[in-house]
Amino acid sequence: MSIADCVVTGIDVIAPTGFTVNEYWRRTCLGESGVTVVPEFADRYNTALAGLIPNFLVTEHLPGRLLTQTDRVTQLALIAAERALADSKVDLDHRDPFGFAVVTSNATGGFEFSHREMQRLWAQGPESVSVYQCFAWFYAVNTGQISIRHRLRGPGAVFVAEQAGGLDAIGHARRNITGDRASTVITGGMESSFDPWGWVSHQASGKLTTARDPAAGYQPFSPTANGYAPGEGGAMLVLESARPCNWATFTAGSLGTQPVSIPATIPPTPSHCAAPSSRQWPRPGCGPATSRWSSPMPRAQLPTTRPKPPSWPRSSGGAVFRWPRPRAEPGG
Amino acid sequence: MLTTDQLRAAMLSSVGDDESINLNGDYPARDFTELGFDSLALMETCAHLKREYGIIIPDEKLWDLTTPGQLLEWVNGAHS
Repeated sequence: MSIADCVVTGIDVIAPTGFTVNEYWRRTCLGESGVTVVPEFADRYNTALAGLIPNFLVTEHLPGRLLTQTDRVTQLALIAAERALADSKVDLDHRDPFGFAVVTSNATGGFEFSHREMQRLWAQGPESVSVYQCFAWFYAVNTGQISIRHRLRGPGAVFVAEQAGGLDAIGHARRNITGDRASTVITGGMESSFDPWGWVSHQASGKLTTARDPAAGYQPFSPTANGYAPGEGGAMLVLESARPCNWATFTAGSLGTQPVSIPATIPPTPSHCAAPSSRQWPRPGCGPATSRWSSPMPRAQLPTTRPKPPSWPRSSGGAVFRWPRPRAEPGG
Repeated sequence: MLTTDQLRAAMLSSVGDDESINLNGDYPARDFTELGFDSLALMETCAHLKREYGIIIPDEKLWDLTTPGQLLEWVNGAHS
């Protein structure tokens, strides 16, 4: 198969810079950052810079029974997958469910959900732990819940690659199509682990920036970077085999080695293909040469050995989580 | 003695507030699967009953009970 063997027919993004793909792209073109000081972490930890998705009402997006059994990261993945499917206009009722795969990446599973259940385990005993913990904690939960919700029975897979597995997931999704294991794949990645347990786990890497000024702490690819600021969110794509259509222009064939380029305008769609999108993509106002994050980090500066993780503090008789933390009284 | 209202409350708290779940009227006579309760939702319901009322339904017994009515009958027969 040629490089243009797949097409992206649906896309959705949830990011600190936007809860919709249009908002995300608009703010990306403006070079805006979503990294801020997290107030809950500011006076508790020596690191507090992160990219959090601003408040949203999850009940507007998902039915109640899914909220009971899912972590925030899975809720984000389910919302993005549903919207990507809607964007693709794929008619699920007229597709072979066994030819519809789900391939996503996730590095941490449902941290916040697990935090709550661990707290119940220690405070109230095993009987009070939710049965849904059995899958809500797991990295594979996003792929599983997406496939269950949309009744997709093709091959499912999960990539666990720190917080950068999305491109590998898309590459594997493409291999599913080129290998004739699926004609359509929902693929992408989603991350979120900013409950206190999740945050101290990020801290344990020893690589988080300790800066409090977002401009000083968030300097990806810059030689002056002093650590990284973790973020939450991700994207879901609907990837389809290009064989029924002849306008395929998926340019991410060499995933992992070249940047994915989004065409300035989606090509016109032949009538026999599902319309991929009517969205007109604005070109960014700044290119790679003028971006403030254009200077690549010299390879020599990358650590060559993995630093020894800090040892866990010994507990003297059971850990006590205080979470959510009671808010300080004004003036108190 | 476990009442239908108590069982309804336990079942609803186990699956979350969802408009697809309807436990009105003759719900005890309908199958759990028809009511939208899979095996995990049933296990969560049982955990709730144990926490709230001290009612213990063994797993192997649970799978024999296909309707809320059968569950009520078994509990009230065994624990009254």
